[in-house]
Amino acid sequence: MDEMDAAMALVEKWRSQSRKGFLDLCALSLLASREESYGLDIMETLSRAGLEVSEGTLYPLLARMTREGSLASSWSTPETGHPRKYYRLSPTGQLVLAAMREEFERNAAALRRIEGGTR
Amino acid sequence: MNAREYLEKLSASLGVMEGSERDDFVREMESHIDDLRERHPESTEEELVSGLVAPEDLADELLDGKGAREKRGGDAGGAGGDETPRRPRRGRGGLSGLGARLREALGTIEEKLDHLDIDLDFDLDLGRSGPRDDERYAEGELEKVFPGEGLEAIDLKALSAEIRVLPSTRAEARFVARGKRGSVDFSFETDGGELSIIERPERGRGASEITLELPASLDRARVVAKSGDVTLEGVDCDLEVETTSGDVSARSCAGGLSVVTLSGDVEVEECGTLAVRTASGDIRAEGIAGSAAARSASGDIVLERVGGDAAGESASGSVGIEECGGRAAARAISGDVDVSGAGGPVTVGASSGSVELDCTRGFAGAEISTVSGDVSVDLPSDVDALVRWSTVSGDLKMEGGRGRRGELVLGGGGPALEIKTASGDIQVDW
Repeated sequence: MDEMDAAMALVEKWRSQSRKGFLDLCALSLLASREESYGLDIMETLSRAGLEVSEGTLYPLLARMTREGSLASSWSTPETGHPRKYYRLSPTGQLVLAAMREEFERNAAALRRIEGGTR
Repeated sequence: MNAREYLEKLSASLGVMEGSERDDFVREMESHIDDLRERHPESTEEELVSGLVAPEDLADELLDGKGAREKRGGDAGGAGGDETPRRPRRGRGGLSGLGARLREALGTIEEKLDHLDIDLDFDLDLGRSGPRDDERYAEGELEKVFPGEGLEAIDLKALSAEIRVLPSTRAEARFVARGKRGSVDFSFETDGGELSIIERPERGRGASEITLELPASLDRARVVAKSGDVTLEGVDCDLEVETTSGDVSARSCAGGLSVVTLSGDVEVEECGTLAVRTASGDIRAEGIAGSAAARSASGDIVLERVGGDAAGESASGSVGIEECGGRAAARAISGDVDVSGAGGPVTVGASSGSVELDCTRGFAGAEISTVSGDVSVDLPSDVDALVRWSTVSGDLKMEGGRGRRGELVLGGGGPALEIKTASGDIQVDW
């Protein structure tokens, strides 16, 4: 059915678009709640919260946000264990997070009002 | 693939990236695999690596959005200046790749529906196209009898009358129409073995009741009605019914039945083969000897006890198939899909709706794809099958299975159960 294919494609497109920005917010928010964290730990924390993210999404996201300046990263080797790359929120990232959270809440509230108004 | 091979492939796929940056990513993935190893000491290295996104796909994602650096890499390779086009993305991998794969899988359902070889495209135009003036009646009741001999087909076009189509007890066709005096007006025309009966709108009124009795020797009949309901019972020839808003119900019709309606509901019981298409009407059929195909934009579809192949497709309605002898194909966008007791292979697609597949009475292979809908499959306890799954972000609940993609042999291995979802959870029990 044509409309089926069209809807599938659109949902898929919308989903990947809307998720990208949302994951940025979640990653910043997670790193704000702790001093530092590394890849797998971030993946598992997001997963426990109900947000499944693959390595193929997370690592590129962390790399981009580091490049953009929201995150800082450094390698270190804990007393027991292997070297890990740890990510932290940068001062810029703290400002970005505050602004993003406000924007997100405003959008969510707007959607609720719009839905309420059309019923 | 072991960890070393994975990292080598990743490094090779990141070829256009600056050396130090590339090494940093490869080291980070190495550390990621080390972490996985610590978390899952029970798994082998190969198992852990097989749960990772493919190295080529990871490289694609890492390189994506790094246009400037890519260009520098292109320059180093002598590919050109600032105008160097971006490296094309590979077709697979990432969410967009999954979308393409899902669409491909859903395309196969379309194909399967097409295999049923039923043309459902009708013209619902009920304009004044009847034969010119031959016979004209203007009585409150009209009865006509046509000898069955030489009669192959009957075509009836009516407006708002309730229409009943029944078998004739004699070797003749009988047509009876009733209505208010002055409102019953039909034309009759015979062309070869075909009889056309067409109602002519008379000041906006029409017959209120029509009974059409068909001789057993008739090959086919077609009934077109605007707002009237159509009831078919005990007729064995091939039947075509079209209505705009009228409901259609059929019982014990042994031939092929095809129904097209915009908003009418369709109910079919104990018939030969069935093809139905509705816009908003619901479709319910049980006891179809041959194949059954049903499509709707927003109606719900239920097909039960189908002897041959069963196919159901609804955009916003739900689709249920219960017991069919052959293949089962079902798909929905926002509605749920429920298939149980299919004798042949099953193909199911959904977008946000959930999919439940019950194969406890036998399993002959299945392909399931959803975007965000959850998938639940029940297999026989002694099943021989090969389960293959992939999900971008869904959870997997299956004894012996882990990771977002993988495969598992059940029993001695057998027909494949393929499940793909974007964010839907997957559960397989046996």
